[in-house]
Amino acid sequence: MGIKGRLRLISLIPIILLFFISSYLLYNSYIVYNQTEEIKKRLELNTYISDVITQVAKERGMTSIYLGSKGKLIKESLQQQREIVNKSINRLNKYLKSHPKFQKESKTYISSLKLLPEMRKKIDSLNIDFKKAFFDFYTYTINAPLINEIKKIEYFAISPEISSLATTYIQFVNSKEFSGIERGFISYVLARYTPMSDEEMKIWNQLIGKADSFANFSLIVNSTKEKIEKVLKKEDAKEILDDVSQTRVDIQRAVNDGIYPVDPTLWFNLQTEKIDIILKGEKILKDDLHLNVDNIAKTQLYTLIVSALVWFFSILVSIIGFFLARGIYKNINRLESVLKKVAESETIVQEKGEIESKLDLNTTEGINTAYEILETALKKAENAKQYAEEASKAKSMFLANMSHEIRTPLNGIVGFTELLKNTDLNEEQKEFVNIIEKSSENLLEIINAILDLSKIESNKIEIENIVFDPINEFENAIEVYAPKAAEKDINLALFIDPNLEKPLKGDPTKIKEVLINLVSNAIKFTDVGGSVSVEIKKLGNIEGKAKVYFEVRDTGIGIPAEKKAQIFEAFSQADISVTRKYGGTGLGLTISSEFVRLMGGQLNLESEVGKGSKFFFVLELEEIPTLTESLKDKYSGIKVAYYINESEPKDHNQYIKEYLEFLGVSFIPHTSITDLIADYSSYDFTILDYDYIQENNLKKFFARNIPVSLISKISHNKKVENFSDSLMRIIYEPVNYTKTKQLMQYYIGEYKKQKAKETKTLDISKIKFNAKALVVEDNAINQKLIKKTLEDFGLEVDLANNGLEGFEKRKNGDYDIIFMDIQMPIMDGIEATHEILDFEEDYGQQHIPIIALTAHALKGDREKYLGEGMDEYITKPIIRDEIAAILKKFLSDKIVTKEEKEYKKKREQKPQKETFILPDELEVEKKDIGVDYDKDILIAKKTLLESKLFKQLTDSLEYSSDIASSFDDLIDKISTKKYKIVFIDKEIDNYDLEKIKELKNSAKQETKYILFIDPNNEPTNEEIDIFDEIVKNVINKDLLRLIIEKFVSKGV
Amino acid sequence: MKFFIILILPFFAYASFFREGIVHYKQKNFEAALQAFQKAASQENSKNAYYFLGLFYLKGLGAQQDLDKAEKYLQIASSFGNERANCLLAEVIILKYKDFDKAKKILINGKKSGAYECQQIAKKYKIKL
Repeated sequence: MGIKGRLRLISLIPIILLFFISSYLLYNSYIVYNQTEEIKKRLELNTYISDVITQVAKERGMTSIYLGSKGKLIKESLQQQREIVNKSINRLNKYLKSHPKFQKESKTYISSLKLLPEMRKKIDSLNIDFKKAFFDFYTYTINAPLINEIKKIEYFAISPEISSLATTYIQFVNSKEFSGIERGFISYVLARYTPMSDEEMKIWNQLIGKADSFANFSLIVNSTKEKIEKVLKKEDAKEILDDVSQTRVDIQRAVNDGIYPVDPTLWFNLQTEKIDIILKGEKILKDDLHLNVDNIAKTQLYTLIVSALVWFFSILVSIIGFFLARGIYKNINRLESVLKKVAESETIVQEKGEIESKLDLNTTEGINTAYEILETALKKAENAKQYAEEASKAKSMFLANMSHEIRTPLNGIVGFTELLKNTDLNEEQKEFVNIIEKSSENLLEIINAILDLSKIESNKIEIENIVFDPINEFENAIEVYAPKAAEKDINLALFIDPNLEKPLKGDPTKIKEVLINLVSNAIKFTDVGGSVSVEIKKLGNIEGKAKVYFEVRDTGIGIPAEKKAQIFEAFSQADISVTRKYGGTGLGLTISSEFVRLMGGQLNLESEVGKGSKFFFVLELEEIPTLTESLKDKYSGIKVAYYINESEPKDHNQYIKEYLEFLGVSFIPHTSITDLIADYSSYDFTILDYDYIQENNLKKFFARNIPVSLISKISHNKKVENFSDSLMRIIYEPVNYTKTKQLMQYYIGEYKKQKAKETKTLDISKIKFNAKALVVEDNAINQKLIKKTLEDFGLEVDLANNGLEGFEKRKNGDYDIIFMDIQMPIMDGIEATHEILDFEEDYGQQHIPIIALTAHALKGDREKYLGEGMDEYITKPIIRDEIAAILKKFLSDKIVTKEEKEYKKKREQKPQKETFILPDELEVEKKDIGVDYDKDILIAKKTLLESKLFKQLTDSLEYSSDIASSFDDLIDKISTKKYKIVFIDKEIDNYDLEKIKELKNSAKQETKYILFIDPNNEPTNEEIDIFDEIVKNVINKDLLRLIIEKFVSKGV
Repeated sequence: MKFFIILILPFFAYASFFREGIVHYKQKNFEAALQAFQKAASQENSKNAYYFLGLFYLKGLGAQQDLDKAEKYLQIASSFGNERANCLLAEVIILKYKDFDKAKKILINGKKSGAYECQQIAKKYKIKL
């Protein structure tokens, strides 16, 4: 038998047992209960019958006297007794009528009772023999059937007690009857007063035995026994019974001669009293029988109810069990079918063959097979997972490592394509090269995106933690898209919170990449005439960090709700048609959202199809306190009017308002050109948007000499520049904070030629410190860099090549500040710091501030170095600002005022031609306002190859540059084009200092000339005079950057 | 003897005049018996006492023979079913009325009831039953 079968059996057997037991009990108790009911009914019947018997016996007795006295005695009493008998019979009949069952059985005795009237008549007429009347009729015909009916109670042997009681009861009934017979019979004899015949004697003896049988009753029910004995043992009862015995004896003595000394009436009455006693006993027995039966009935009723409940319960349980079992079997079957499916799968069949047929959850072997299958399946799954994980890991590692391998040849293609572009090519070749360039740029973009993604996946992306100027960086990033937006006539607006003046620490490259990606997408997916707005707001400060909110929103095609979730998944765009129409790899958003996530934010999206999309995220970036003062309210007092065309609202209206108000300028909006022109006296100048105003209206402003600053899209630049002479200034979209600032600067400086309310602030770049610094750095180039930078600030610099040297020097020297590199041989920066601190403590020396120099700029570094005992830290590549801030912090007492100082080195300051009223070294010099440079840098090195290499460097610093192929070309270029810096190699062929001098003096614009010389040579004094800077011919990107930064700002 | 009987008498449960009479009769104290039976008949309502009274007055026991009284008493006794009294009544009828037929009838009935007196009397008076 299978498991199911066994389960079934086990679960069903107890229920079935319960069911049968309860059924049996139910049936049994029902039967017995019914029996008790019957007994009770019978007892009731017996009461009636017993009464009839008693009365009939009395009638019989009286009849015997009547007959004996030949109708002389008790005639009236007899009649009365007959009435009593009739009444008793009626009651019996009435009872029988209401109990049809008994009625059926009563036919015998009822029919006998019907003979009474006839017999009575016969008796009345004295026409009957005594014996016939007495014995045949009354005793056998009438009473005997009645007694038989009573006897039926003995059949209900439902308990020994009941049986015993019933038997005793019958015994008493019999005794009563026979006492009655004895009474009547002997009365008759006594009245006759003749001797008894032998036959008569015999009869009497029999009668005596039966009449007295009641005295020897055996009853197991003690309570009843006691009651009866109490009755029988009572004084008067005893007396009566004794009298009866005695009288019998008297009569027996006289049977022969018939001289009975007993009066028949006396005898009759005595016997009647005895019968009464027997009756008492009979009643007790009847009552106790009734009681017992009642008790049993009660018990049986309880049993009946309980067994009925148990019976129902067992049925209920079996039904529930049935359904439960069915449910369980269903589940088992389902499990079996699932396992069968697994067993049929290829992997299992491969391993275990046709094991499916052995699967049977009903047998132990079958279950073992199931275990086998599951085990195999799990093992296979694990193997597969492992394999897949390994494969994925291998792929990621491969891609990450290949990053460099892939980019190098591509960079070669891109680089040299560009170089190729700059050679002499015909039109066709130029076209081809452009196509190649574009394709390779695209390819580079795609590969970068893929590699970035795989880097993210293999967790190789690191977030930098460097200082940057948010306004500058982000404005630059967005500015790149001005032409693209203008092409599609899209309003590009940029709001950077002026409150983000202070530098922040974070990863500007990644943030810019994200912004670029979002803006590029926005422009891509927005139709002509739409708008793209970028908002970067400072939400507040938390624990020294600024909470910055970034948002890019557009009025583009929007993203449907279903696609929103997918949009950040790699390679997905809203649908295939998007790729077809708009292009793109679909990787941008994935990478962007990962970058944002790694920086601690989350890239969110809100979008509605047809209305536009909004991408936004919040980053927490550390704020760096600066020494530059805020420009807030710097230009208070100036009023600027602004025209808003209400039917074509633009986002940048609000932004410009906020920029101006931050700067303290009163912003006066106008919605009507005529009003604007009319109110001319109430403002200083007005800003107009070329999208809103036509040339004829503009001319009205020019006619009234109202100063106008015009906002325009870059696509209209040709048109707008036609009347640039009449305009105060042109601003190209997107209007950002810097441009607004510059506008105000220009107004104040150039246009107004009056000093606005401003404060003089310290010009960091010209500040000098009279102090001595120790630089501990193992790399020679870095040494030079730092030394140069510090010397620019006026410090005297000593060098040490490793930690140990540094420690020694510090012990012996007298420095104001120490710059300590971390990664050094022999002794590293941290160890050296510990040594110095110990030394200072042991010898009670004054602590010299130690500044950590580190190449890595990861999060947590600052805390780590400060923890090691350092006072501050800066990252390489060094930024002048940071150095300045640190020097100011630690050497504030060593500041020297703005005096020119002679240095023993070859450098000398050029006389300043311009006065810097407004500080901020990242600013374009005032004189540069309104001047257009062709390129930032002109490179003239000895060989073309060197120049090209040099150009690569400057390109990587994001400066625009030209190469002069020869000295003549150099002269040529300087004459015809405007550059910010010219790098000249002294070794160049035809090097002519005079010509350079000529050029320099004749040139109107400010171009810086920088000379490269052989490291072994020294410059001449004249050269020192002419050139702004002389550099040893060492190509080092950072050094170069420092030099260039000194003289030029990054292209706007 | 009298004294002895009077002592014993109380021990009889239903010590009655009738019993007393029977005791006296058995002891042939007919006068005492007669008295007792008379008391029994009047006070105790004893019907069988009349039989004895009749008997005594018939046989002249304890008193002078008095056929009238005998007849009276025996008839009473007989009416109450005393068969013996019937037989004696038959003799009284013979003696007083010389009515042998009536007597015969009575004697026949009496024989049926088992009273041997009837046979005796029939024998005595040579009546065939």
